[in-house]
Amino acid sequence: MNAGEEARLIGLARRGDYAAFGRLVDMHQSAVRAFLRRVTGNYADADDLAQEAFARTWDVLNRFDGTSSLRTFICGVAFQYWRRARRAQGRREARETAYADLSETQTEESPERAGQRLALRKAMEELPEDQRGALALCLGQEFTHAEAAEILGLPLGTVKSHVTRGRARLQAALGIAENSDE
Amino acid sequence: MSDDLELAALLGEAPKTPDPGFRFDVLALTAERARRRDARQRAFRTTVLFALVGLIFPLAHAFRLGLAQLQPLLLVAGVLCLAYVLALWTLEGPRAVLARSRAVLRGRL
Repeated sequence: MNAGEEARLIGLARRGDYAAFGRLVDMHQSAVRAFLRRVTGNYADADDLAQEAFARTWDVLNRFDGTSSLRTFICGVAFQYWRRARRAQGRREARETAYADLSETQTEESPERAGQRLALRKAMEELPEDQRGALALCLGQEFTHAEAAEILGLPLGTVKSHVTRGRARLQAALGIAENSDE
Repeated sequence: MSDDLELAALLGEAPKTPDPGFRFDVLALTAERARRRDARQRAFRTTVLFALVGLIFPLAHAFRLGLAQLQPLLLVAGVLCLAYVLALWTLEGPRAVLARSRAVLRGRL
């Protein structure tokens, strides 16, 4: 879908058209849900947060000025929701449920891969919020560093640094030496 | 394994296709939030209205206005309220005498 079509749908949604907003949800749900899945480590929580973020986007769609992409705007909202939820929930509870979540969300994978996933989640849990957000946005190559900087409200250089250092820590958690080109 | 995409997949995979169930949940949540917001606004308006009506008498007392001086004002306010209630009853009440006229007008406007 091109930018013109997206702008048309945004215009319709601003006037209260739920069908147009539904199409916008379809267009962007994959990127937003992937970001939240990586940052939370829990698919159910991620989808709940994504729904909250989309619903909030509907409320504040008039504030979207079009200088960035709508996807970036929604992810910015989602990131704020995640930070708020994380503070409310507490780190310990997230760790305690990590093993249960692992068995619930990935039942068909090999034990080796499940172990890697768990090691990565633990490593992610130990990263600062901004670094975690930067990794979740940029590793899957769904967002550029510039978009991630806009979503997280950080300077571009800081985001690049977060990604490089965070990647190294994740690789270390998997027992992989850091790439020489990074 | 050191590939960024592989790391991203291990952290959490993106849904392959848009999920209609997710869209439905988002729209249901959006509509629910809109309904709650409207209800809050209605409650606020009602509270303000009744507070203003309730303020009339203390204010009148403060300005040393008696019931005799207030009587014309109260009479007009009462008639206006009655007319409003009657209009609502005619348009939206159980018999809704003018409901069809309203629908026609809405269609043309």
